[in-house]
Amino acid sequence: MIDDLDKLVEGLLEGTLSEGDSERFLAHLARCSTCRELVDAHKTVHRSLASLATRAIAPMSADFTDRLLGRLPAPASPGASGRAGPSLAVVLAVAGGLTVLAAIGGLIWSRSGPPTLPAASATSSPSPSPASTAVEAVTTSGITGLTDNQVKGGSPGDEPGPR
Amino acid sequence: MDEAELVRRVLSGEQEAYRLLVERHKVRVFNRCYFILGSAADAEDLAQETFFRAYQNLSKYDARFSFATWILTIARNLSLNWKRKPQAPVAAVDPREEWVESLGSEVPGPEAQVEEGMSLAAIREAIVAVQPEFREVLALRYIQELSYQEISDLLKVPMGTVKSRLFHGRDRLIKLLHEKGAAPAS
Repeated sequence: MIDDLDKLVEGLLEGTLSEGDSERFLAHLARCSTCRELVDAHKTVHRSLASLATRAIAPMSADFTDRLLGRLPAPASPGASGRAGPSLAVVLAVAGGLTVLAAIGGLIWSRSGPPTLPAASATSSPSPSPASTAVEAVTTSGITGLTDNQVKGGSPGDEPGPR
Repeated sequence: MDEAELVRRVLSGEQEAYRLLVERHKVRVFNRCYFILGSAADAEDLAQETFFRAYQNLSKYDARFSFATWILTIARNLSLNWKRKPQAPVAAVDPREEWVESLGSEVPGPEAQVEEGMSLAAIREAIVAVQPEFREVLALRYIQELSYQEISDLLKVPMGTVKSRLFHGRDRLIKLLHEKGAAPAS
């Protein structure tokens, strides 16, 4: 046996020994059967272990891949998630803003009373503003979760906020 | 086909492209898990989990590195985490586990592959008895195919220690195989 046997064997297996070290070690192996047998055993195990990059160490299920693919979620259509996110955010932001505007308008209305209108229009219902129409549309669709009553006639105490 | 292209196809919704990636890497992922867990059934479960998690996180894959490096790192981390946790009792014995346990008997397994007097079954049985620090270096070198330097960086040990552990890991394996009459004399 010789010193640094581990590094010499490793270098021999990996081909990383210097030319001089390689010659000296091979010359030693030619004389020393103990070291030669050890190196041969390491070569055999080295090759077997290296084969594990391509061979399964134990039997694997034949349906491994099918089973895995069966668990995977179905692929989303390309770009679908990219469209859904921003559009929902925009709708919610608009709905929230309009809800606040409608509540502020209701508060002003309740404090100052109805504006003085020409006689011809005083008896008719005020036509809805574009903003309240939008709020109705949004609340009716259920996005904000508010009832029409909360949006139109709510008192300041139950002023709804965007959800 | 180039693996970066396969990944791109999977991300664009072509799930069948993932089949090719799985087929290419499943053996190494399974072996990697086995080297940590020492059980074929557990290794297969963790290999499944590895590919599942990789699919979920495929958008994070950096194509500058090989897919093998990425997936084997996931397999290693999942297996190490799984091994650290206390395990629930196994409800039923997996038939493959019974088969593995029978390897010590005189009847060879159905897929026994003889290689220079050493069967794969014998290696499988012996490797679990090698000390974990040696087994880990063997796996990093032979299954993950990392360089000495990469192993040294990963484990934060000097390169000389990596070489020494490789030698002693193989040496231990040789002795275990020899005890079972499955290895050439050393």
